[in-house]
Amino acid sequence: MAVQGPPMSKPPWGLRLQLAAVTIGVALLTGAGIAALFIVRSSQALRDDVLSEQLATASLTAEFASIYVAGAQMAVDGLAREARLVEAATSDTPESASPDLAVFLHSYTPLAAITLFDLDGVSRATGLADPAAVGVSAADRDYFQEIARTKEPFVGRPIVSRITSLPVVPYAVPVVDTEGTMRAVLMGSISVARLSEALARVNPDSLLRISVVDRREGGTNIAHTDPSRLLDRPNLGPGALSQILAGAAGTEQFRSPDGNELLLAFNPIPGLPWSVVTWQPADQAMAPITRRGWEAAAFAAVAIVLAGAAGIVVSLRISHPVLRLRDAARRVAAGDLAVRVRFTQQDEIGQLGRAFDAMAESLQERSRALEAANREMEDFSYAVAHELRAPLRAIYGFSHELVAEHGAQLDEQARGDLSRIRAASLRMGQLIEGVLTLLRLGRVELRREAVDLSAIADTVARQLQAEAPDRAVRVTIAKGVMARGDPALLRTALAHLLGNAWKFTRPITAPAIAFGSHQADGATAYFVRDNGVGFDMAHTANLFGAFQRLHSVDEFEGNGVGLAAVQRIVRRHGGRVWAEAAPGKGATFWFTLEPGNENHHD
Amino acid sequence: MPDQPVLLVEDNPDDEELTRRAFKKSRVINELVVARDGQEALDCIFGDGARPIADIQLVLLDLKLPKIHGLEVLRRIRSDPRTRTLPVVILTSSDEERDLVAGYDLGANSYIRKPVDFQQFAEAVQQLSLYWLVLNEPPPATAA
Repeated sequence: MAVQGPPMSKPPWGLRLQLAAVTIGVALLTGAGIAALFIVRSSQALRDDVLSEQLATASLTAEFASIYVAGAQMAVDGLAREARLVEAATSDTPESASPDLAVFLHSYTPLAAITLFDLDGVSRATGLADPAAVGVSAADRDYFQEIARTKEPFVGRPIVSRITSLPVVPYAVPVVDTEGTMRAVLMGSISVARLSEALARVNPDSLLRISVVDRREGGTNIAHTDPSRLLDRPNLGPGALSQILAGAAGTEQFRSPDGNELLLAFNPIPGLPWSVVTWQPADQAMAPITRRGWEAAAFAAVAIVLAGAAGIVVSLRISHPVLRLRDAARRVAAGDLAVRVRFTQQDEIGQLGRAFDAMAESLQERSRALEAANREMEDFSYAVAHELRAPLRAIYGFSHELVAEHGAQLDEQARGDLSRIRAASLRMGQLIEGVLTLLRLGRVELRREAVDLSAIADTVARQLQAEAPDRAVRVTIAKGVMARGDPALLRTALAHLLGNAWKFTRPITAPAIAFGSHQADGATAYFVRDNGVGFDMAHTANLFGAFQRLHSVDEFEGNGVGLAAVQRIVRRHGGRVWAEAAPGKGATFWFTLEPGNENHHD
Repeated sequence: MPDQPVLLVEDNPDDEELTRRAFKKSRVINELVVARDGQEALDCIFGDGARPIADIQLVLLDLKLPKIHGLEVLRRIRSDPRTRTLPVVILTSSDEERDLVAGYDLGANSYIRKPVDFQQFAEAVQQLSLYWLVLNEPPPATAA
């Protein structure tokens, strides 16, 4: 039996490829996800750390700057109350205060200068050695105008000193006589350059930049780790700057105008209109996390490779036996029933393999049994063909010879008896013929191909007509009725059915035979219909059994195997055959050629 | 030529008798030599001293024979250069396809199934004797 396996094209996504793709995909996604999560989480943590550290630095710096300024303020406040200075300031020779101012300036380094102004804003005494420092007007300066108005100490906006040309923050205090009247103004120039130098010492870490910003009038750098930026506008972007100028404390990440990502922290200085700002480039601050990110990525890559390799091993362990099973199943389908996979593993795959082997074993046993039965059948039919006919030939031949040679000596009855003997032996010969026909139908190999049943029916009808040229039967054959099956066997079946129809319409005045097909429940049923003598459905219990006849041999000839042969042929195709008939109303024989789910007539 | 014998290889005496009568009816004058099994047939053809081989003009060969099967007899006839072209007609009960195929494969000249109907059988014998014994010209090599 050369059963063709189902067509096996190579699937575009084989099991092995699918498993490997899924495993590597899952490993890749998981690894990449974990690495990304790790990087995001730790970079957030680091960023928070960096920013809070910056904020702490800003706060510390603010405190430092506050103390730095407060120290200078206290010193200037103290000097303004000293009796010798008040006396000199209220005298006609205020320049007499200069030596005391020089001593003061020398002993107090945060101050770049100390100057005594009269109430017109003209400098009258100075701690500096330069005589040009006397006689300079500061009447236009904000600190002088402010103190003239309020008579209260005042921190002015940062300026470049007209005397020293240094950037300074002026601190002006009133010099008051014993009656409490303001008689002069003492102004200490707090050196912001020194503050910057001090900031550089506070944080020697070169990455971190620190500035102190005067918040008034759009902001001015009072101190800066880059001295060239002193008294410039802070270059910090509008968002951060507006927060800083509002005196807020906070952190911010922003892109500077020159395109660098900066991490920023700012804190106001208590008691002063100043804020401390710290910042550093984000990429430098995040450098450790970038390094750690690469480490995580490398770790993830290793994990992906390992997971992928493990996945491939597992998928091979699964797919290898599956592929072996597939190949074995193909070989079984192609007829090699000796195939065994012999899996030893204890898992489901192993069970599947053992079940497959058991199935193949049982198939092989059945196939052997079937082969043995077929062989016996063949031997039997061979013996029938050879042995059973010889005695019939003798019976027929010698009774024929008896009549031929000695007919004259025999009476009528004896000749009649001999004629019956001959007829019976001929009939026996036909029956043996029938048995052999049925046996052969079971043996012949079934082919499956496209068969034009209409063409076959047409040929058969022509043959029937040729054998009985005097008969006029109206034969209607539907065009293009196709089937899949064995051409020779289907020809035999149609020959029997059409032959029956031809035979049983003989007594009819207008005989008609039709062949066609009908679709029902997705299956095709073929039919041969006649308007012949028909039969009573009550007598059809064994209509398709061998040697079953509904009519006497005298009425209609035949060896009684025609319908049995039709049934065998139809069943070998997996189909069914059934009949519809009534006495005097013709008969219709239906058959299918494929297993269906229809269950009418059986 | 007409006196050359026909060898009938047939183990069934009834069939032998019927064949004889059929020959008689068809007015064949050749002698009918009968071999009742395969061995006897080979002895007749290749000589056990009784007859020279070239004498036989036609072999009517049954297949199911005692001792040596008819097909084996045919094989030996065909494999011997002296009888390679000797006409052999298989005359048997069997219409099994494998017998037909094997018979023709081994070089049978005809294959005739013995019908039950004696009239048909007699006609068949008449036709084959007319053909093989009268009409057919044997090849010169073996005729000599």
